Amino acid sequence: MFPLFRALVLRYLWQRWDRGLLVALSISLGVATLVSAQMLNKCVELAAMDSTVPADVADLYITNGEIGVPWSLVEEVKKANIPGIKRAEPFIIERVMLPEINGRSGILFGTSLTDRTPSDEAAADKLKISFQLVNNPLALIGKPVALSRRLYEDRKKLGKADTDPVEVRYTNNVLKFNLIAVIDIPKDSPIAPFADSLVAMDVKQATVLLRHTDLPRAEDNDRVSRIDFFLEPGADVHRIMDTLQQIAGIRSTVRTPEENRKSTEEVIGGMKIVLNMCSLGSLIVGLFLVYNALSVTVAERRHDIGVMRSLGATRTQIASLFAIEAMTLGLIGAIPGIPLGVTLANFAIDQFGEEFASIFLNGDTARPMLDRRTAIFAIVAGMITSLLAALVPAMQAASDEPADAVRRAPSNTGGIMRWVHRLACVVLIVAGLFMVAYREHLATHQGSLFGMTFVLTGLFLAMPILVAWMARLLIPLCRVLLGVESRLAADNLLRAPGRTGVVIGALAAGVSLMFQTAGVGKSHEVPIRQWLRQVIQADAYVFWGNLASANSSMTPMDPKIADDIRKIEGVDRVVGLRFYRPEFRGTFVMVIGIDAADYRRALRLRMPEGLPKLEKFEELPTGNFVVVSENFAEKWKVKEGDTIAIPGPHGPIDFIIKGVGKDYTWSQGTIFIDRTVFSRVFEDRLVDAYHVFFKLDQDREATYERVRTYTDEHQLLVQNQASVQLYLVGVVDRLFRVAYLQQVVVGIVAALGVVTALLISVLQRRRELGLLRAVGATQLQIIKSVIAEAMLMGLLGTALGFAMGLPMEWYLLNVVLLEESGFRFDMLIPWEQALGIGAVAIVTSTLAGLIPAIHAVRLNITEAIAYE
Amino acid sequence: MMRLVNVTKTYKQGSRTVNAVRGVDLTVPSGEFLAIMGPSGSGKSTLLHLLGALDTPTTGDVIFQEHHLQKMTDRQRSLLRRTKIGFVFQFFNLLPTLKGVENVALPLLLAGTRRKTALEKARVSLDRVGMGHRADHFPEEMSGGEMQRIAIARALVTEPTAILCDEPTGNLDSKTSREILQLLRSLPEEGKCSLVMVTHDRKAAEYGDRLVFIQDGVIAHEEDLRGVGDHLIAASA
Ligand SMILES: Nc1ncnc2c1ncn2[C@@H]1O[C@H](COP(=O)(O)OP(=O)(O)O)[C@@H](O)[C@H]1O
Ligand SMILES: [Mg+2]
Repeated sequence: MFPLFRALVLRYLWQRWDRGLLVALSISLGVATLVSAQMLNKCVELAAMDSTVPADVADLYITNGEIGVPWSLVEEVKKANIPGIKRAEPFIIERVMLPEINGRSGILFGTSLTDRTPSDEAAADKLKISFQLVNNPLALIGKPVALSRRLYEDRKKLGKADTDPVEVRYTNNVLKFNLIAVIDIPKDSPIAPFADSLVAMDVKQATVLLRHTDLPRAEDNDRVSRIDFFLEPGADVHRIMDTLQQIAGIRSTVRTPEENRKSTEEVIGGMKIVLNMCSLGSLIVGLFLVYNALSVTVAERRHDIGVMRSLGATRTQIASLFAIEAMTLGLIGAIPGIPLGVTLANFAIDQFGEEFASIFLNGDTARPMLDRRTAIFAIVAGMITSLLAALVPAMQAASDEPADAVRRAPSNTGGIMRWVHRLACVVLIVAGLFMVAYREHLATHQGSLFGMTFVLTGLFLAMPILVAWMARLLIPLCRVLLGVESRLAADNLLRAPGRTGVVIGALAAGVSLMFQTAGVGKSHEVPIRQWLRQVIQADAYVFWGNLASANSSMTPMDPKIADDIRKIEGVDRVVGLRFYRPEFRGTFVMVIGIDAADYRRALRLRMPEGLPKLEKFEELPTGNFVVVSENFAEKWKVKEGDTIAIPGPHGPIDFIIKGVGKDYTWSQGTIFIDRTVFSRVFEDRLVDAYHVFFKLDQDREATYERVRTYTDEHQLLVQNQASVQLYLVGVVDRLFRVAYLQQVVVGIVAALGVVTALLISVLQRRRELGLLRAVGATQLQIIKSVIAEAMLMGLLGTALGFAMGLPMEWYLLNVVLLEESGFRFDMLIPWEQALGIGAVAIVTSTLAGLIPAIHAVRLNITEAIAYE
Repeated sequence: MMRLVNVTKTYKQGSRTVNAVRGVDLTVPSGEFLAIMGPSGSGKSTLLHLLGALDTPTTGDVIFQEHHLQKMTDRQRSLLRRTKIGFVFQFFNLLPTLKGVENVALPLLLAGTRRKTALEKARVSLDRVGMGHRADHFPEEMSGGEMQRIAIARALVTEPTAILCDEPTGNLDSKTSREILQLLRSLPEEGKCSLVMVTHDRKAAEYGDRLVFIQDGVIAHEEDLRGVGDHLIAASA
């Protein structure tokens, strides 16, 4: 087979490299989006897992979300001496700051470093880390701390000796520790993401550093992030879980590692599905284009196939030649697709460096990584895609009667294929609609997203039929309006809807995806910007860390700062915000503890109208009352007057909903609680950000300067209203930039499709164009006719794209995103972008027409018409 | 030996049906050079395709040696073409992407012969038609006569028992035509193979042993040509 393959396929591809290149490029782009989506998914998943369940090596956990588990529970569990438990180990993980290492942030692990026994080695083995003691006699006195190798080296570069104390800061607490060891964390360790920033100390010391409450019962002040349990081999897991839950009561939950990971998956699940759909989409578009290009190469070689058949080639031989050719092209395309995908993924992550770092503990080190499985998967997907695309042309080539093929008679296959085609379209569309209609009964996202994919694939397949209808409508118009060249072009559209339909479909898919993204973007952007203008009204914002982490609970401040700022001359009100993401019905929601009454009054002073539900904030300080966001109410089907339970430090706490207001902070829903109530019931007085409102009748710039002087002294940061606005708008913009990037890839694939199809068109019109030349058509007329066809396809594709984009936008806003986030947005039509997209689509397809047009004028007339 | 027994062939083109062959009985014994003549569209090519297992008849029987062609599967017919039949077409039908020698080796490569062996045999076959010096050229670098010689070499390379030529000189000038016909004439003598040639040209037909006239898909009449063409053969010898 190989000599044959070399002789026929490789030689052909060598000489007709443009066809092969188009196929390979389509595959490359499809594979690139697939790879980047896979990498992004994995990156986000890993980062999310490492933040919510870091050092995931235990057999069981007791957890209680961000609030943590009280130290008393640690003691109770240890005392209970439950058989089957080898070791119960309290564990703390928290972001801290290291003032003496350029103030960089570190990840604090609090574990039972000191009472390790030989039997514990299993755990250290699982983490694959090793300790190297340093020569520091002070460590023997107490307060020992271990640093990861990289932190240690950085510290040494700054001129610190091993005997110098290690400063660690959490809020305003700064404590000094003695360096005892350096931790080496190999790349395959489960805690490898923390290799840059790990600070390990005894758990009891860590609780002292993190202590920020002074509750009457001293033992209530110390909390740990979770308790890890290592079991004896063969222990009865279920019985142990029951016993532990009995001890913990409602204070915390006992979970297996799998259960622990699940709620994280729920939050990132939506994003994963969207990314996967995008890559699936571009593979499907790629599939059709490859199909199209391969059909040409088969059509071009039909006569050669006939000759081979007359020389005794069997059908199997012919079919397998084309199958191997397709897989070779798939392979050639997939290989450069991988680095391209890596670049895309890195670009996407670069857009979100800061937000990423603020959402995830290890966000600053999380990079998209290409693993071998993804690479192999991508190559196989590329090859299978092109094999699938080759299936029909290869079978057609093989089933052709050799006598027909050698005498160039028209092929007889097709009658049944047409019906199979129509049936496939109808089945896909109907199945998709069913999935959408019954999405409530299917798993989350599946009905709405897969349903849409089915409908779109069906429509895409049906494109040739649609194009034939549209061309039939257009032809009389062309006859009346246009010259002979365009008439020929329109006739050509009608005669070969199968070929042109694929291009118009690709174009329509590209245009509709871009239109829909622009539409969804605009529908979000306009109300979100308006809302941001309404809620970002303070004159100064005080925080530490960075702007991204100021909107999370990662870098809290001491509540006493509020009193200090309030004393500054010209300051009217100081509103503290504390963010808390508890688990709620299987996912994480956002709780914001806010100085509600102050906030309402300050905002009303500056904005007498707008945000009507702000009035309800006045009631919040009077009890366990909350205002929830509209998307929270929509997503969780609750309304004013209902009661919701949120996990607290000693079990679930009930809150009555006092109002439902506009808020776009969190896709799973936001809950506002007065900060005084919040600190009482959640036993957490810390503050993540201060919105500072100045007196309006004083020189506000002077006040700002005074605030800045204060924050400089206390190593805090301050920003004015404009820069916070700018920053938040930037976050929204970047989000859509990544979405656009994906659409641009689809657009490029569609443009490639236009070029291929036009090229095919010229090849198939070879005889006709030759005849036209023979009867006296000028080269210019030929060029005009080919370009007219390209433009017509561009027009039809763009029109269809808009027609499909509108309902897609509506569907995404009112079904998919509503289901995912509960946000309800009015549908806005992106007129300006639509104009741009349409112009680009039509210009691209017209320009794409130039290549085949040049091909066409170079046609040798006698050759083109020579055959019988 | 090849036989057509009451063979018909009907093409359907949309609503129109074309009776290209309408009841033909024909026997071609081994070693015979048969010429077929007839006006354009009379069914000559169709007949040739039926003889060569490129196509199957609508009714009737095609017997190639002892094989009933319509009882064979497509694969069996492919193998038959590959081993027992050689085709020569008017437009040469060489694959443009292959060198001369590779075109000749193609039937052997299809049969799975090792590349080296196949190319060796192809060169022998090329020498036989006097084209050894053009082995490594691509078809587009050759003249019509050269391409046709390559095509004949390709037909010969499997040592077939039948060689079928569809207007082999239709696209060649008269001098080249004579050379090609000489070459074809010499083939049946050498082996035990028979040769069927479709042509427009009475002169070309006279190289054959027997001539069959086709009109409207039936055999109009036959002529025995033994001795008639001897002067042509002698003239060029
Ligand atoms: N594949 C086909 N489909 C329809 N009609 C055909 C096909 N092949 C040949 N014909 C018709 O059959 C008749 C005989 O054709 P052919 O055998 O090629 O004639 P000849 O070689 O004598 O010129 C012609 O009328 C031709 O149009
Ligand atoms: Mg003919």
